Amino acid sequence: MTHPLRRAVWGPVRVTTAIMVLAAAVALMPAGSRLGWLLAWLLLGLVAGYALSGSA
Amino acid sequence: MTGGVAISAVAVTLGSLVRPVLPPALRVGVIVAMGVFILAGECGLHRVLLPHRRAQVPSTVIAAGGDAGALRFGFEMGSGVRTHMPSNLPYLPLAAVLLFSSWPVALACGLGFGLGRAAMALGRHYSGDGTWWDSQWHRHERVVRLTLTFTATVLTAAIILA
Repeated sequence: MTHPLRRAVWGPVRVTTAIMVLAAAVALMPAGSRLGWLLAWLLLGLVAGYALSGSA
Repeated sequence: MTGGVAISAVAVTLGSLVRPVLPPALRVGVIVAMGVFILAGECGLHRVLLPHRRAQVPSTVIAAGGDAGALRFGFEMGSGVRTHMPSNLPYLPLAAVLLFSSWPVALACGLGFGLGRAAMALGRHYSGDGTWWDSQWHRHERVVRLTLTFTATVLTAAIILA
């Protein structure tokens, strides 16, 4: 992977945007979907974990 | 990731003592209040940080722990127990796990927390330029934090309303 591409993929703004898009997709999943319910919890944890980034 | 799962397991166990005695309306009220408090903090309306251990996992843990040192470091980092918390956001999933979760979703939440912690370290490493990553973080920190907080709020609302 080239250096600019690595930056583009792994930069905090891109990662945050990707998380936000995933969260929107999960929130739009049909109510009662067990997979959607599980993914919502997974993403909630992921968001909180990533929010501590500044502490490292 | 095991650190996040372990903390979640503790939280869901403690929550199993609390959930049966608290009426649903009160649990919803607590999580909404928590969400508003955290959102207000991220918007700069207050500077109150909820209790946390103001210390980093020292890198000496890796050297001192022999073969298991790196694993211990990863476990502690993934648990988020020994870390500076520049944001109150981790308290939102913690409260959600305590008040609303079952075992499978609590473990998923803990796994996600560990993944989030790892995503930061891996992202910084794989960007190929840690200095650039740090500068990006500091430049966009406010917007990134606000975005993450809104995202977490929406997810929590979706979880409660489901």
